[in-house]
Amino acid sequence: MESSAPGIALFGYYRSAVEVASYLRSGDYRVVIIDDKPENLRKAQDAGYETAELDFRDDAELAKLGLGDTINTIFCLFPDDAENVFLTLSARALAPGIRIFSIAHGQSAVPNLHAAGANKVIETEEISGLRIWDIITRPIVTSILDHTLFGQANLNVTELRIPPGSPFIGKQLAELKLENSYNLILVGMVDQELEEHFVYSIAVQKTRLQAGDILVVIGTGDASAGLRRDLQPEWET
Amino acid sequence: MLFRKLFLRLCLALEASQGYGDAKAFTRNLLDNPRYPYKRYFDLAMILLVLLSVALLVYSVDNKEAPWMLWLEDFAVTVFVIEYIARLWIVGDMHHTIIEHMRQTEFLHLPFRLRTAMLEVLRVKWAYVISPLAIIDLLAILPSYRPMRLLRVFLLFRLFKLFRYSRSVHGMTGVLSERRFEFYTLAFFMIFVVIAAASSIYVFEGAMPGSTINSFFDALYWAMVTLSTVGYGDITPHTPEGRVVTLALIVSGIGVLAFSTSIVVAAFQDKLSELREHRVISELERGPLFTVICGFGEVGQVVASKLAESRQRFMIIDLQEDRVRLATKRGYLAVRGDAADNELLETIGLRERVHTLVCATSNDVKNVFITVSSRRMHEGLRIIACAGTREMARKLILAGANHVTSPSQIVGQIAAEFIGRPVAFEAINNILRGERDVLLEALRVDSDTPVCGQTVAEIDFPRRKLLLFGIITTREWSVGDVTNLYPLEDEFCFFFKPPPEFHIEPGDVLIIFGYELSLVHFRRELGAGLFRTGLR
Repeated sequence: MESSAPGIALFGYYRSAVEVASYLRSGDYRVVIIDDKPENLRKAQDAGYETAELDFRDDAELAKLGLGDTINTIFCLFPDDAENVFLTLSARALAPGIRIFSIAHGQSAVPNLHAAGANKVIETEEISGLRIWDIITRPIVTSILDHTLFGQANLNVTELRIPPGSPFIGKQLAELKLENSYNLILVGMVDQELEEHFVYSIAVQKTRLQAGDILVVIGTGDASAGLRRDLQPEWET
Repeated sequence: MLFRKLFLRLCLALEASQGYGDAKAFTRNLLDNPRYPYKRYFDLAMILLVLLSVALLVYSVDNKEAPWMLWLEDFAVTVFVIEYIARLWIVGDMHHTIIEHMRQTEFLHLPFRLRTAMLEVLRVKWAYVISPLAIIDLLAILPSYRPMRLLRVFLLFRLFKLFRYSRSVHGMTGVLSERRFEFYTLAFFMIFVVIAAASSIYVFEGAMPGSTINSFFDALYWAMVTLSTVGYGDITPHTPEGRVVTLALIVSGIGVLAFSTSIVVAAFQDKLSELREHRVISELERGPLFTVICGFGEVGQVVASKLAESRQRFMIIDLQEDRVRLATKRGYLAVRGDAADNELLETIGLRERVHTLVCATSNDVKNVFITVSSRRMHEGLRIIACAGTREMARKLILAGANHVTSPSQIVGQIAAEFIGRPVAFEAINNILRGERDVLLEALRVDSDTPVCGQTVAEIDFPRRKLLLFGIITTREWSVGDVTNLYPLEDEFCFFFKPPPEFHIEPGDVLIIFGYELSLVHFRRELGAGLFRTGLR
């Protein structure tokens, strides 16, 4: 997870891009919207985004954009799966280290996009169908998550990386008592030793924390900020 | 005068009588309400009785009837008579009409005339008596009456009674009656051809010596047999003139046959989907409530496959023939039609038979329309709608949807997580989707479970390898910090991460993360059922 802040490029300003851009705007990212249709670009400009008009089918134009250099993540958000595959393939060839997120419409396109080099593929309709399924079978859980994690309430899922020299290093998860002292629920962690593999807190109580581990907690913004502060090495505070 | 008074009093008594109303409602349901569960058995019994009595008739043609057969015949006739009277009884409400009439005349200060009221009642009954099905019923009974023994062959009319009891036969006659105009045209043409041919052959050959045509009836018979291309050959033309007539008749006969075949085929082609719809609906009418999915696009397909996986009852409505075919091929119940059509929603029984409606057509405007009209039809229906954009989501909520999901919005959420905190999101997403074996479940605490009255600390969730995410409660909980309380619908609150001293009480819902194994174990100990239907 690189946290350096080069830009994000959104290809294709359609429905999905409108949403993605508005979610990303609340974060601290440089977002460029790229499209070859002037009317889409005009809409993006009206919404206040930085835009660039270029034809993604032309490698020379793509290279000029600075993929892998000033831009480290691209979103392929065209409504046509073939265009997304094409763009993913070109971008992957130009900049092997770039992160590529693509949407797909229909199951069949998902393996193609993965093969073309996409890091994450979201099948938009499928995920919507699954959400409906959740609402049907687990109305309470879904409504709570909608109200809290995805909604207006200030409960968030937060990732906290343990920096080198943190006072938490060497402690066991059970000892932390995040529930009481920080008003946080520890969902799980990514253990450095297990190679970025996520483990749930209910399974690992005895693991000792190391620098580089990532804790995943749920709680209010203030609470996680408090924990983040305490995670820092003492000489920095 | 006295009679009228007595009669009116009787009407009023009937109006007030609970038992009479119930009996009538029961009869109505049994005879006429296709949704009534026992009607199926009644229909089946009647079909058997009809077949049996016709079989007896056929048997008795050249066999001697045994006494039990006569007895059975009497029984069948008795049942048919009772049925006929019952059907006549449930047409309209005599006492009600009379009382209405009385009230109206009182209101207008007119003299009350029993005769006008009775005429009104009789008019309604008469309209029923002369309806085709009622006539068939009557003809099925009458020949059993001794003096009318001649009409015995009419007993075969009982076979037509089957129309009453089988909906598919009913559907077929409906289909054919919709082509009335074409059939009239055909019949007119046929009558013309037959009479023309019959009279000409009669003129040419009727008086000829050695001719097989001895009367005009013979000529008609010959024309009909030839026209239909059956051609028995018992009557044949002998003169050149007669043969010319025959040639013309044969050519027009082929035309008539082709025309009538095409009418029937076209009628069924058109109505095939409707007949299938009938089948789907009657299949759903039995058993518990079901879910309706409007639109079998990508979203609808995912929902349908999930519902099918968990063996829930559902049906699909889609406008496109190929999608309906796809759904049928996968073994789902599907109906072709416009879900925005109130009549369709009415026939599938949206009011009584449906608990959840999923609006997943690709057209936002249509989704809004479906939401509005189904909400109007059914107040307590759970409506889950799919929205293309955020504005549309807001509109759908206004239109009455309980939940709205928007594919593009979910993509936005996921994209933001992908950039910001991929690990956390992956974890939550897995829990949400029930992948791996970790679940987020809601468990309701019933009044007589062991955990009632215990505190969160006493239950000791960590030891059970569970994580208590929060509790849904209606109780006011103002001790300590209230920052962890999040209001939900109605008076319910979600209490995130309740403190160790929180007492669990009946009606609370625990929201717990955990492995399936530990959840099952906990549930067994808790004795609480999975709570999945809603907050109440």
